[in-house]
Amino acid sequence: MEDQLLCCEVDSIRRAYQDVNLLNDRVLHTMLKAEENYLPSPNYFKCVQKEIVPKMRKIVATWMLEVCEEQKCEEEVFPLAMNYLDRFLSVEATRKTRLQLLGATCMFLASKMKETVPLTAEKLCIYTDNSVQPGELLQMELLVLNKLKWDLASVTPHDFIEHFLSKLKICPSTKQILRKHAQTFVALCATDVNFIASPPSMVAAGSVVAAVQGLYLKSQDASLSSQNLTNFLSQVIRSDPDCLRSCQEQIESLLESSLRQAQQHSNTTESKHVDEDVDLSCTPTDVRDINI
Amino acid sequence: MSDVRLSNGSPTLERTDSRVSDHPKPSACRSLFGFVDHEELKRDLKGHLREMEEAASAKWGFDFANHTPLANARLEWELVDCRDVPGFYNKQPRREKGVCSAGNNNVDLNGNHSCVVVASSEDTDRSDGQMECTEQCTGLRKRPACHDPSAQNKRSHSSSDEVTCPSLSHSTERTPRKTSPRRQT
Repeated sequence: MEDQLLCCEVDSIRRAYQDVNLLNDRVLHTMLKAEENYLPSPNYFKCVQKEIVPKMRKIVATWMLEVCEEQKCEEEVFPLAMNYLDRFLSVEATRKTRLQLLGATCMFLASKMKETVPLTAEKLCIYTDNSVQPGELLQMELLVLNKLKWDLASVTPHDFIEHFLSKLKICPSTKQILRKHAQTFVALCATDVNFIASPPSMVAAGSVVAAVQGLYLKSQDASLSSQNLTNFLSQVIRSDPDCLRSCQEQIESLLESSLRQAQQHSNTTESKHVDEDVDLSCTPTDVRDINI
Repeated sequence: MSDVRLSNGSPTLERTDSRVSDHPKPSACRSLFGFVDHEELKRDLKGHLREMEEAASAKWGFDFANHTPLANARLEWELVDCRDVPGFYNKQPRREKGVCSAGNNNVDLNGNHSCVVVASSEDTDRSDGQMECTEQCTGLRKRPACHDPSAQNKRSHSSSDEVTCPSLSHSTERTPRKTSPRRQT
């Protein structure tokens, strides 16, 4: 009987409901304490790596994001994989020709951690244009696990976003849009070397503030005004409002520069479509013009 | 940055379809940093894995390749009957035969026990916080550990200092014992 049921359900992703009991301050404080244990070393390019430079991280990150999107991975798989990659590179000098193998391995692990139907080694190898083999990926997996001390339960910005959203007085549909925008910013940050050392809580808060600004969200009691929101969230993450503001500005300028480059890129490749998402139609010009 | 696509994928909660594209887009399939020397890579990986095994060997005083304890090691190993250890240690992955050597008949094809829900509910509540995702993926496989009366709850997890080394799980009959330990299983 059970077998038959499983067969019928095999085509859809089964997902648990969000547990509201986990969205409380006790959990939040535990996460704020725990996140420090998962921060990569900020200067590993200088101190550990001999061949790998920031530009290569960007290249591999861009590829990883593309694979995650094409495979419709859960949103948090990509930032989590980048966390593994940075933590590995923080402790182990790596040849540049093996950076892609490392990236694939980190996606493999992150996908296993977060998804009911994880990415397979074979599929990931296809995405490397068969430049690595499944057997190598599996051995690399063991090496990465070892270097990360088998601790894969990194706190990610996504974990914080839900907490922040639960504290804002906004309607569910707006929340959905806001979540999506904030998650996009988080992914963007994960591709950028300047955010390697930023705690996930900071990236999450900066992304939420930037998303609220970008969407021109307002509330009756002005709690969503830039200053109030920044002050509020910086208290929540126990940080300084100025730090959060500079993080937010960094995210906004990163968005701007990547939009500019995406636009240039889309001029040359016609295959990219203009974003037609409903949620973006109500947003101001700079966000609305996003070329996906 | 040129290729970064800002995510336009459906938000987390809306993703209900399983993986669609079994044939990846050719554009995404690319080798980023040139030719990989597979011979060299294999050699290096092998070296790393050997180092890891040696480190584990030294740490646990056990030769994992040959399944024998090392002489003069910090830990003393002794044989125990596999029926005396919690099912957690010798439980096969689900869908395999001979699911539990403790002679358990209440196991369906998926390796799930009929007692699962009742016996482990307490455990589930407690560990959900940190473990929600791992629990989701491996929960079914871990649960049956509760079948053994001596390993009913978190004790079997928290006392598993001994299983931090992955290769150790192969040698289930042996339990390490420190010179002045408190017996944990």
